[in-house]
Amino acid sequence: MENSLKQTKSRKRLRIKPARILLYTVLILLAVSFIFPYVWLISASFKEPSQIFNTTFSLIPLDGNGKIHFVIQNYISAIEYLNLSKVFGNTMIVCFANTLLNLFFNALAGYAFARIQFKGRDIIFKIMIASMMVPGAIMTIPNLIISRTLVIDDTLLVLILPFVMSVYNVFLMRQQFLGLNKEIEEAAIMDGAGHFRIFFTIALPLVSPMLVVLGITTFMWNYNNFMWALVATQSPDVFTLARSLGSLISAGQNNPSMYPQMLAGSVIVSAPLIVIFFALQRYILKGINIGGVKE
Amino acid sequence: MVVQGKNRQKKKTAIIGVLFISPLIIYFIVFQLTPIIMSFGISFTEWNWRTPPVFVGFNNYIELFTNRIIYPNFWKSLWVTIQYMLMSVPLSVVTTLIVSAMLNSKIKGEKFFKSAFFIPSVTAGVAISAIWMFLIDPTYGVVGAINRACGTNINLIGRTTTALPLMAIMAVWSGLGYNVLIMLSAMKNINPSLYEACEIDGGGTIRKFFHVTIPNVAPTILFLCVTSTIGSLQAFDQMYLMTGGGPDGSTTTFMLEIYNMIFSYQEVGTASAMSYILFAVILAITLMGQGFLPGQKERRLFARKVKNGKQLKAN
Repeated sequence: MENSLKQTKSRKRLRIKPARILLYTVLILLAVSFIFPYVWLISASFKEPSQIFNTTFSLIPLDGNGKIHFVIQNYISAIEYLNLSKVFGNTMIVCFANTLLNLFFNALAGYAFARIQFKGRDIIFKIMIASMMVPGAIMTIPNLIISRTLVIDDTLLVLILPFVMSVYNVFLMRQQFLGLNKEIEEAAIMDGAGHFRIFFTIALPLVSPMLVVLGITTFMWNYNNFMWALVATQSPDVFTLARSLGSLISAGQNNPSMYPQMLAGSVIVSAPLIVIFFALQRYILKGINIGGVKE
Repeated sequence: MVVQGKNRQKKKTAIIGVLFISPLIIYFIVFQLTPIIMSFGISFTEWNWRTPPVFVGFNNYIELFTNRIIYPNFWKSLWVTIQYMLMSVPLSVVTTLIVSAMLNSKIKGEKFFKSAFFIPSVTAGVAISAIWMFLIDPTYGVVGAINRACGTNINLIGRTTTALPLMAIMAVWSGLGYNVLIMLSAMKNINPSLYEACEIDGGGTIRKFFHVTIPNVAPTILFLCVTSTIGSLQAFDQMYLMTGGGPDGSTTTFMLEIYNMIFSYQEVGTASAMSYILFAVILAITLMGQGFLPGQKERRLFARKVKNGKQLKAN
């Protein structure tokens, strides 16, 4: 009896094999189509411009005689075009300011929506949730006008203030606080602790995994934000990395001679986030599960 | 005495609550609510940034819909956007389903594949545009190498027939990793006993996929459909950067046309009207999507079925 069971099992495994091979082949080919462009981008960015435009296809940067030859010339001109030292600083200011302010204010509001009873709370929450359906296009023109009124247009503040909080993140924070065990808080209230103390010493530490996740996603979103930066900033002194690379790319749209700088610039702009991703992979992947739908 | 204290306590709590949400309320009023209302108001005016706006009633909407001489690109950009949506959404959802099912079949290196597919999701969209521009350049990129090797003249981005499909494929490529993660976590939540039951009935891999996997991840499929539809209706970055809307307007999406309306033609009122038309389309699609969601009743029924199945097995 046991023997025959084993036999059917092993037979089954054998029968599945060709399908498995096909499965792995498809997955590997797909993975190659995701990794290859990056490998190729990096290799091309180290090539001599004349070699980028050379007709022979090679993944390793070579010189005219077929010898391995890495050049950093493209990077030097990209750094110059991007105005990197200034632009990188701007990006960090915008990203860190938005991330920290987002985390603090969203958590504060999320806690209140989840835990503090007061009149009108639920209706306010519902109005905010409903507003999430409104597309960003509607906000563009008025936000430009509001920025001008507040005299923050074409400054770094115009990239910070409109994104200093996020209704979606408030919603996610509220969900987290709702999921916390109430008993600890009730015990703290019995001990005479106010909501301020409970928030900072009990509730906030308990949701720290969510804070990490939201911190990362907020950072990335601000790092990649292009359209608003495009319409709201005109002086190169307040450009972010995405905005600056954008102007390099639209300049190269009909001008292949800009490709070498463009490629090096793309590596410079993408590298930080990709490195952060691989370093913090665990948290990011978890965050997407939280942000996704739950049945 | 005690009641008074309680009331005072309640009042104090309410003040703290309002204090906690006051930054959000200020932010919401200034940067969300005011813009939504303002934009609505502006959509009923004629305005070019410089002279004061003039109230024109529904004129902007009527002109957009009817006057093809002044606004030749309105219907065209709407059609381009819908085509883009019809290409990218089904392709994205089907690819996500297939890849997730593959990754969910107890394969080795799941983490490697997930990470590989996720790299574009953490690459700045601007950089992705640059990579693809070079990749598909008919003279220099990979496509250029193919052209030279085979003597062909493939120019994906320069032809009206292929430019938009290319944009759709790019969008699917860059969003796949994120979608797969969401789909995969939904697939991992499926009760294994459902697969076992299907196997006992003689179901193979394909039947399990269609009879167990798909019905059980239906809410996630719907979620992806709605989010990617909304995303595709607002496509802007890659078109602006890679084609500027060309060739011959074949990649001028609705958002790009709104952008042109604001900055090239300086018709702020018309642009606002267009953004509200976009809002109406998105709202309609979202509501339609919610109509497809299985209701509470069906879900409870389903849960009971699963529970009964478990009990049967235990017995």
